[in-house]
Amino acid sequence: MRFKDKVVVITGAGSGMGRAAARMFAAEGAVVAVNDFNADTAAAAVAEIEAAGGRAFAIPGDVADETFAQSAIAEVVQRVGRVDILVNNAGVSTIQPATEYQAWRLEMGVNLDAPFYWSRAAAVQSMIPNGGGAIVIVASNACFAAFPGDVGYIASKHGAAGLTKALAVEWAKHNIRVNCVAPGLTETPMVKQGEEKDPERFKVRRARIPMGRTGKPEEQAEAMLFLASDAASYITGLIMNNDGGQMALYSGFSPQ
Amino acid sequence: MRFKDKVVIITGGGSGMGLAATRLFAGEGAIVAVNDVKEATAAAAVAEVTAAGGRAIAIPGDVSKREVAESSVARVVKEFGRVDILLNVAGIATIQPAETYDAWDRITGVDLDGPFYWSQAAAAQSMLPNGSGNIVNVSSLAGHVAYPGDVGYIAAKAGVLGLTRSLAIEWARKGIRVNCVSPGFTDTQIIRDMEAIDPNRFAERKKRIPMARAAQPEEMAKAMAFLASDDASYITGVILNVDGGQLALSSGWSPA
Repeated sequence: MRFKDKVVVITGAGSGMGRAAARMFAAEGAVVAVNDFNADTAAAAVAEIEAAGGRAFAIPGDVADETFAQSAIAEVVQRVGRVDILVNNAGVSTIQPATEYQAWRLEMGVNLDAPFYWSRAAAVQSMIPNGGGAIVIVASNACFAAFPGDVGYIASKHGAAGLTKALAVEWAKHNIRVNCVAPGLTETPMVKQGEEKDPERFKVRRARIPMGRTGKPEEQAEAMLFLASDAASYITGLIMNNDGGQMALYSGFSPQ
Repeated sequence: MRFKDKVVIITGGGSGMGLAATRLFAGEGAIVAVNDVKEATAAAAVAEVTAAGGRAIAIPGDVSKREVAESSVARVVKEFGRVDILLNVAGIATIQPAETYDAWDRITGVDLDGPFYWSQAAAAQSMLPNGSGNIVNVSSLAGHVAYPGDVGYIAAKAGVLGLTRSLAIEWARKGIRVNCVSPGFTDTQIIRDMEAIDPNRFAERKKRIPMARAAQPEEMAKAMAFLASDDASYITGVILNVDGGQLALSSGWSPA
């Protein structure tokens, strides 16, 4: 029970690794505020947690809207008194060549503006006045290296790594730790959607993961829990890849 | 009890963060084989673990000698049947200008050859035949960035990052995960020894840590335990800096 009575806000917690994190934080005693763009999936995540005897409530809405971020954090503070942990997990991706890329503003909004807005809202309204907190930002292997067909995703995820370092350095004096998990290929709805658009898209990539398998959402969530826990008390500004060895592999070579 | 009945070898396990790891792993149920270059230090760590109701044996010796690595691992396999986890913690540093540096062989021997010899021995004698294992190397911020006065340490610790990635991708499909903890400024004997040589050496540096404090050895041990645990099941080849935010800060600037 590493998170007994901790208040945890998780964006994009209605599905995939966010949902896994919501379940796992709640199972370790946290009260979880579940954000999702889709109100139904947020409600379903809350229902699942409550059925398991945990505590959660839904704060659905568009993470990229700063006014919403502020009001959502205000609602959490009003209902349960504070925010101890914020997990910026919501993310979107697409497949479009850079020359015709339409999704720039959407992707920058969800993947980069949102973690900034939510972190600032949580810090200002609760963590700074309370003298502490932990923030986890979910980036991607795309925060280190690029692949063809999603310039907005790659730029925004690189930006998320910079955001992590900037906030870690500025808020260390407030006892707020800010870290980043950079998942590799993980079995989430986002990856399934990518495969629906292009069934071949991840075939080669799967074969290029040194561990020879994709990650599970729960494995990504474990890293978020670790970084948010007291076991990581001296860790801040870290970009932690969780990728079956992919970022350790030189891109010009293949695993054995 | 994440490590119940796991067989763990810890080089440099008699002092500093190695000793903290010895205590943590033994406290969570592991059988710990404690290497230290000083026989009395290894024996003291074993006595402490045993007095606390844990299980440990001493395997003292010079980690930079391949035959010591091979015979130590052979002894552990003979006594306990296998090696589940290897922590390559032993490390040494000095202060010498590059142009008159005479500690190269000794420093690179302990800090870089050592982790390779021990990893190779543990893999060959136990982890590869068993199809499972876990290795954690300990590098340093000096593996990422340089400071004046210890070219051997900086080259060796940077080499440990490459060693980690190389072994991670070569052994990913053999069930062996290989990761690295990269400590920042930590309150250990190595630091106190260097302050004895130059009392002002770290006065400035301590002020440049965003979290504004040195780490405790236990904070490094907790990171090693996370990487060695099943919570990190998809993590391999990661370089996990535990540094109070130092690597997130641009070297040209000071913390806020």
